[in-house]
Amino acid sequence: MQKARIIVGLGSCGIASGGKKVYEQLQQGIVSRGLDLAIEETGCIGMCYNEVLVDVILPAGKTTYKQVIPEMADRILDEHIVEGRIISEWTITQEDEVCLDRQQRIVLRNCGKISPESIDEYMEQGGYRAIEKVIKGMSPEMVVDEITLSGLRGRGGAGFPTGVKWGFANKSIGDKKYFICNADEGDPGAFMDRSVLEGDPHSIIEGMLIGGYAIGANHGYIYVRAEYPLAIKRLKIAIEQARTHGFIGQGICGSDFSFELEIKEGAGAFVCGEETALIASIEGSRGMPRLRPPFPAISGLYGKPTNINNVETLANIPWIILNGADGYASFGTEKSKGTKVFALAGKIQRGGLVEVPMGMSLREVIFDIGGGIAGTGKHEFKAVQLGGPSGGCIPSSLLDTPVDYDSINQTGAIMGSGGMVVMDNTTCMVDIARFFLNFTQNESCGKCTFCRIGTRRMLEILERIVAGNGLEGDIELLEDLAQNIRRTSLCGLGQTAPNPVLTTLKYFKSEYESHIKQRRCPAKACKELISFAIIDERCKGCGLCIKVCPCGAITGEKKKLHVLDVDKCVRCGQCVAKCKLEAIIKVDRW
Amino acid sequence: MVTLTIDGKQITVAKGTMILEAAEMAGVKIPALCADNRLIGFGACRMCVVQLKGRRSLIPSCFNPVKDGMEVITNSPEIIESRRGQLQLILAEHPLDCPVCDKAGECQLQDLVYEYGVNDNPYRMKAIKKAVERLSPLIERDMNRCILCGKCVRICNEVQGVGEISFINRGIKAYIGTDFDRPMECEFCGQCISVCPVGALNSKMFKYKTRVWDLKNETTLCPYCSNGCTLVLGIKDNEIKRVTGNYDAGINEGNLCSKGRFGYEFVSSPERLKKPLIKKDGRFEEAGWDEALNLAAAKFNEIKAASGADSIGGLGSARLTNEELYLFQRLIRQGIGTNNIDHNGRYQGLLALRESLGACGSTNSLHEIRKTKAILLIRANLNETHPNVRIEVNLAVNRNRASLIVADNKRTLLSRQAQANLTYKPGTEVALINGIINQVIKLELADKTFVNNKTEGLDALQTSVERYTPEYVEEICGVNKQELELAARAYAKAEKSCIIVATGMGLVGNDRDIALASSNLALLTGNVGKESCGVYILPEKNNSQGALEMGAVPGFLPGYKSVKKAGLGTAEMLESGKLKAMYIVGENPILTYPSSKVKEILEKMEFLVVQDMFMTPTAELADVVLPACSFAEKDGTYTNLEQRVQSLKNLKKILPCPGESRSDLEIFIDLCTRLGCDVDMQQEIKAGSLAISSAPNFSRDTWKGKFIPVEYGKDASLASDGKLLLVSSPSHLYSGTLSAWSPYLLGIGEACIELCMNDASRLGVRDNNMVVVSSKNAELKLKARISHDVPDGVGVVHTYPTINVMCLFGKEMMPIIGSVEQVI
Repeated sequence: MQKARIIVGLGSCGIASGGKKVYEQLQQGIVSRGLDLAIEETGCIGMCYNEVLVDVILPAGKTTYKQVIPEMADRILDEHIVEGRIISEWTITQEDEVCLDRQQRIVLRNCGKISPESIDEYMEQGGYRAIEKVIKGMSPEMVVDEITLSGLRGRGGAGFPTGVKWGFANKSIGDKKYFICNADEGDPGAFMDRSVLEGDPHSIIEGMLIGGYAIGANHGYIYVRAEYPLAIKRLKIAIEQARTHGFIGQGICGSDFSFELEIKEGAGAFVCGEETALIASIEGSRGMPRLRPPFPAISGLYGKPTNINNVETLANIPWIILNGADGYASFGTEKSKGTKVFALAGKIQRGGLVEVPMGMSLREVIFDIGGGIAGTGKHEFKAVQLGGPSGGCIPSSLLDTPVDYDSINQTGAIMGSGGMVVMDNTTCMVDIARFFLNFTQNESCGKCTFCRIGTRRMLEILERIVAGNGLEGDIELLEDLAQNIRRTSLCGLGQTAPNPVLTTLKYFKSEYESHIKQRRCPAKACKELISFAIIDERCKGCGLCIKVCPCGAITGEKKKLHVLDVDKCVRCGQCVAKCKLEAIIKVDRW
Repeated sequence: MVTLTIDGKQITVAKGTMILEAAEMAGVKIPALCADNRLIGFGACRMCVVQLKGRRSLIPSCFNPVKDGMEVITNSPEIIESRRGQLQLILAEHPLDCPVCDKAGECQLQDLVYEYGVNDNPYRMKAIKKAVERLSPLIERDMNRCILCGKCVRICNEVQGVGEISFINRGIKAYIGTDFDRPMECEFCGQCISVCPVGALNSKMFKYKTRVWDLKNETTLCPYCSNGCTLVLGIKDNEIKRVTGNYDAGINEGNLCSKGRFGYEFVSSPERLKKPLIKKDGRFEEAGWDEALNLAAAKFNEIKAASGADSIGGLGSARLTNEELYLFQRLIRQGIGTNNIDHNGRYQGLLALRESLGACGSTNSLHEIRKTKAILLIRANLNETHPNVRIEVNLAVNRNRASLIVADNKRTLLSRQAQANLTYKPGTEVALINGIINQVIKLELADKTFVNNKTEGLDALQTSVERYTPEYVEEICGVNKQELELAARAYAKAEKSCIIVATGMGLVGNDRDIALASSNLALLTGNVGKESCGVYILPEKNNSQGALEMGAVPGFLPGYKSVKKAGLGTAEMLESGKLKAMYIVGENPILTYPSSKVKEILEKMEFLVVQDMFMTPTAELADVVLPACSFAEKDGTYTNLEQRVQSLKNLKKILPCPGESRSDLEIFIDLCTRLGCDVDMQQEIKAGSLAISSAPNFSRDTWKGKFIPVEYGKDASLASDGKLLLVSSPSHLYSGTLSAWSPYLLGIGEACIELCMNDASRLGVRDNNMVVVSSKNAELKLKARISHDVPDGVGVVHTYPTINVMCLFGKEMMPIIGSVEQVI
């Protein structure tokens, strides 16, 4: 029987929602009431929209409270713990549970369940049994075969079969080999790696140990971006714990296999997620992709055979070893096995992390699990951006596309690391393309001419289009440049940088055309192309808009119709947001 | 081998060759802005894209290796369109200030834009303005013109091993710069300028001098160090306007150091001597050649008759050509009749190898270094002394992953890349090497087969090194056991290893013993007589090797034939006061000989002839000054450090000798005749070339290396009572016979004493303070420089052309105890 305890979700999302204060309040409450109750923290369970989540585990069962604020702490303790009455209006709903049930959690198996700072809890869940199994009963080649059989493909984006990659590194000859975990998650809108690092760091360590054993590496690096301080903190704790338990260091599990693990903090360059740039960065050089071949499996870190895997890939490994390749391959489609974690963000009802079997349709992920478009149902789904800045926008007509590597690639987007940014009809697709291109042109390392100068020129063109200064021929110029950048860039960053533009051009060309030809933004999102107007019959003269207007563009006496001076208006949109009567609307400016 | 066709031309090349290189061999030109034969493929510019027949994709030829049966197309409409697009993009960011750009005429971007007819641009120019960096000496950087090919960064890193500049920032804001945008503080080799395809990096010396198409380019040899680099002189109006390298000409593959590239000003210096001078009543008066030479001949004959031929001495220079040196020793030996001939050089190390290995000089050639697997540098701060040998070391370490062991009395720039850094106490090199030998024997790393078959005298060596245990070595050298063992393992275990020792007037230490100890170590590990192994003793000047071979030494005739009775050497000639007359050619002992008494001795001479390009402090004491011409105005051969004899190009028609100055050879012939010894030039040159010794044939059965044990003689005592142990560090400017008249070059160094933080604070000295450095031999005023490279208790004195710092050390040329006091 489990001991009575309270678990507070303290991933980055929980902390951002005020989780620490909730934790403190509960802690004080327990002490002041003299309760025999443990309080623990855990990582993100995926329901980021419901944070702060508090689990109350009593012998009677587990109850989860959602959106807890510090003020709710006392009542939870008094009513639920002391009196034994569940406060049903605060618990998670049926719908929330359904969306959890529809998921298949392999990578996130422990996230939100165990304390990330406790190796014991990880081991209670079967942790470090996989490495034991591997060391005691499997040869490195057997491990490679097992992973190959499972059909696991690299979750960093490109989807290269992990077992094959390990096979290369295993066969490569070198006096020293390295195993690197790529935790440089840089895509805007992607946070699954962070959640795993924060919620279940030991699974990464175990995955690396198994990988190290399989390829014959005795030294590992976790390259994690410095912007993830909590992940780094928990990784450091986990490494220390693993060391004291004898899973890192000499003679692991009584064998002669030894493994050392170090954390290398990245300095915030997106391009360092590219493996050769990442290696250069660990070596202390500028993070700049280099030419391949030689591939890292032959000559990587410090010129030695090196294997690099992404966080999510590694988190799968212990599960595959314990449950068998067949167990893993039973999920997913023919060519894409297993599950994939997606980070749902943007205009979605239930933003957060979901892990689903490959092959589920986009519609199911976004509508059945994600709950569809956020808000009161006024706006409708327009597109989903998949794969971050390297990915593309998929329109509603393709919502039934199954999520697997090949089907997604056919749409022009990519699976990428699994960021899903959902957009409704208030999002301008030209502006979205501009946003992502701005990101890539800033993050280009500057090596290849087309990537460095070409993305800049594309951005300039997009900037003038959204400003209403688009020129006849700009679309052709964009297409031309995009093709050239794609064809002549060295690394994945440049090769995929035009994808957001190309896919929006493919599916939403009319939006580009109306920007250029009619100087009209159909989504009414581009500031230079809209203006604001007050609908006379709706305005009650409450004066709220006058108060928020930063430049005195709205005038009018109380309870009388207000007037908006278009010349003074800077189109900040604050009045629209403030007006409860929806009396101020966006209209075409030209 | 792989066979492929490029634009229909069939070619067979080695496996692993890149398409770009194969095309070059096939005579097909593929444009590339970021490729260079000396650099690892980078793949930034994408001008070099090609297509394979039947495929649409564009592949960069610079990093795609050839495959059998490949059919490469280099100029399809698609390729041309892509290249045009590339150029259009670059031009959208490039200031078209070609009329004032020094690169115009040889700008690769300009040429390509012309070739591809890029006269339209769909992009509007919206470049970010960047500042032009003008504060660094010699190099000006205009980042507005930069196309970020990265060649400068890569040559600085990959070839030079310096890493002064790097990419900074990302994306469109990326540029090439130094840390925190400070002015450059490197060795100013100018390699970055030489590889820049556009006008982003410029030589300040060449800026606005002339348009490149007006230059006449002539190939000749570098007059500075013993590496023997080939220079391309850009000449206009009888003046050298710039110096560049050419990948296809010379052993240096186009690489040059600061001296070679920027040290040419002396040639056209207005201070060049133009007429013979005769001193009358303490003042020089211009004279005709006949008058001057007659006077010299008459005076020499007079003194010879009065005091004997041995009262006259000749001091030559290791910068003369082989032909001149041969004739000079004939003039002294036959014309005057004495063996009192020498040059101001430290060649004991070179001669020592004759005793042990039978080779007078380095055993292997220069380019073999890059293929070796381990390098032991002994007292070789190559960045300063032999920058282009440093390139070989750097290539071995970076490309071939050779292990590097740096044994020096301070940390050098190469220490950063070293596997082991043996920072020994000054003057203890022999103990250190013996310590390594001791470890090699103890750890059983010796090559027994080689030792048994090809050497003799092992027993004596074993007995002698027995006492150099790690503990004993640590006590003497201050190098700990682990480092010593690491070095021994790294050197002896590698499949091929070499030892490099630098020599020269600016270096203190017992050269002979260091060379012998080094050859003992090389023989013991079987590293002699094989490719990429051996011992390199690097001579100082461009023809130091030739000076030995031509017999410009008191103990040898040309070809190392011994003389009956050796004459006086430099030290005795300049310090003993035994001579009545001297003939000094191309040397300036007052500033370069390690004694402060030279001036006194020379002043006392009855008769002094100085032959030089400039009125040096030594020439000022002369009775007759003969104006000689420079390397650029004469013909002849130099022998470099690998004993390669290379020819100067006679540029007389392009660069006439200033005034009435003549080549040393012409002067020697004339004077020989006047001294009654006949010269038949054809015969002389033949005799000279015969004299050049060939390297020993190591593979011959009869060849055997000799172990010659050497002992650490406690020549250097340790400093105490707040005194410092002084050592010298040669600057890249050397003795100053040429560089002193190259103002730009002088601007990148200074005479100073380098101290560690502890000693400096103990002495109350701050960075850049003026201090008085004194030893038992001399006292000097120098600038203090505080550094982290120098160990406690050691003061490193840097040489500089305009000041004789070597006089601190005296003719023994060993580390010496001295004191440093602040100037109040």
